Amino acid sequence: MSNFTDFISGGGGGGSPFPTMVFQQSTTWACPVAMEAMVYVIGAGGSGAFIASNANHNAGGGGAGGCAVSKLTLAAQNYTLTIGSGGTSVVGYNQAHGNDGGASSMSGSGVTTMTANGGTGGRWTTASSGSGSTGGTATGGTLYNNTGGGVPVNTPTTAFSKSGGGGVGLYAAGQDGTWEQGNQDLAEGGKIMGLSITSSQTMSAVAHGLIYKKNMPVTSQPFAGLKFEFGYNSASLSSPNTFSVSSGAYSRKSTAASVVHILPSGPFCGGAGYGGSDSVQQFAAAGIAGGGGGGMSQQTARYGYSGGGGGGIIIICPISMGA
Amino acid sequence: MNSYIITDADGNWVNTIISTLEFAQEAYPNCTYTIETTPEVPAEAAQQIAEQEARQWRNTELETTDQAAQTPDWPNRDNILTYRQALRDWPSTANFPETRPELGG
Repeated sequence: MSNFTDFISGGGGGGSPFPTMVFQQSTTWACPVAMEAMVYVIGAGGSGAFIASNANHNAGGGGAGGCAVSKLTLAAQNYTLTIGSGGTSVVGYNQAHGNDGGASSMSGSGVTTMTANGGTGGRWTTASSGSGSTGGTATGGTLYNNTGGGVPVNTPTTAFSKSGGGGVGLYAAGQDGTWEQGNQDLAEGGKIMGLSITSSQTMSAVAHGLIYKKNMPVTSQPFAGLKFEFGYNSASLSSPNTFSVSSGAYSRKSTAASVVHILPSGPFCGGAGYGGSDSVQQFAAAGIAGGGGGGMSQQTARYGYSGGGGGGIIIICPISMGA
Repeated sequence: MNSYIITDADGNWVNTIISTLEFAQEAYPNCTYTIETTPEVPAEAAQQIAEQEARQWRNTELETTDQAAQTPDWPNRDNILTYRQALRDWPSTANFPETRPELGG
């Protein structure tokens, strides 16, 4: 299987002379200088569910974390930044619900505590017993308190029914993940804006830059300089194997060696779900930066991983610095 | 830095955060802190994976020796034919998937 290494880098841009600060680990942050800043606190996404069955069952994606947004005047003092952990991917042989994401928060003297709860884990369900996942709520934001996208209830009519995870709501309530019932098809995760590619394009097409689909979506960058990169390593791949996406939902199916997996979407988006009659291991996509993980639905007695939830994140965008 | 599962005195889940142990203890005092672990692959799945990989290797070996099998004067052809038969028989033997057939000669 591939080895994923990921990081999100912050950087100035969009005309701002100040660096965007990104926190993905809990810390006591010593604000170095008084500043006015936009602060985004985002909870972690839930992981997707797993089901291995030839019956009409669902594997739902996880809900996205909530998003609290404030315009704050910060002092040169300590602030406590807590970062929720994404719901752990479910590995299974039968069925299992996904895991909930953790809550993120920012607190400190003189500011209203901002809390963004995690999304719930995806649910595996039968045709007669449906329940979806819900996005995390948010409190304490002076501008927005957006609930993350979830996954609606679905009644499956075929095997291999799955959904993507919910997307984070940066500007409004997060977008839900969508259901897909086709064999070996992707289920889109919730997006932050724009379109997405959902296809069965293979790794070879990607590797050689053969991006040939019409109506290619425009890549949007809600935070200038913030991007997601990951590496894909496989003995059967020669080159190139590093990918970078800044936003939007760009999940796609890849096959290499004895696995089928789905490339991650951009930050804040839900991971795509996957499921089908492949006889090999299958891996749904993880959510990124608060997005919910995709559900994994495959045939009886087969093994795979659902998508993990995206970790929480706090983003501080200074507007002005100094007294 | 780990992911800590934080539970209260009654065992109820409180939060799961990415932090140091010290941060978790300070932010959530009087709780229990458990490092979240990566889920283990079930034993059945591990066997399934080994069989999948073995079959893939076998198929590759058959593909790469196909031209030799169809060329009468190919060097070491008799051993290659024996090897190919062993590859075909391998999944039904007790050696599958642990011990791979070897090409003689």
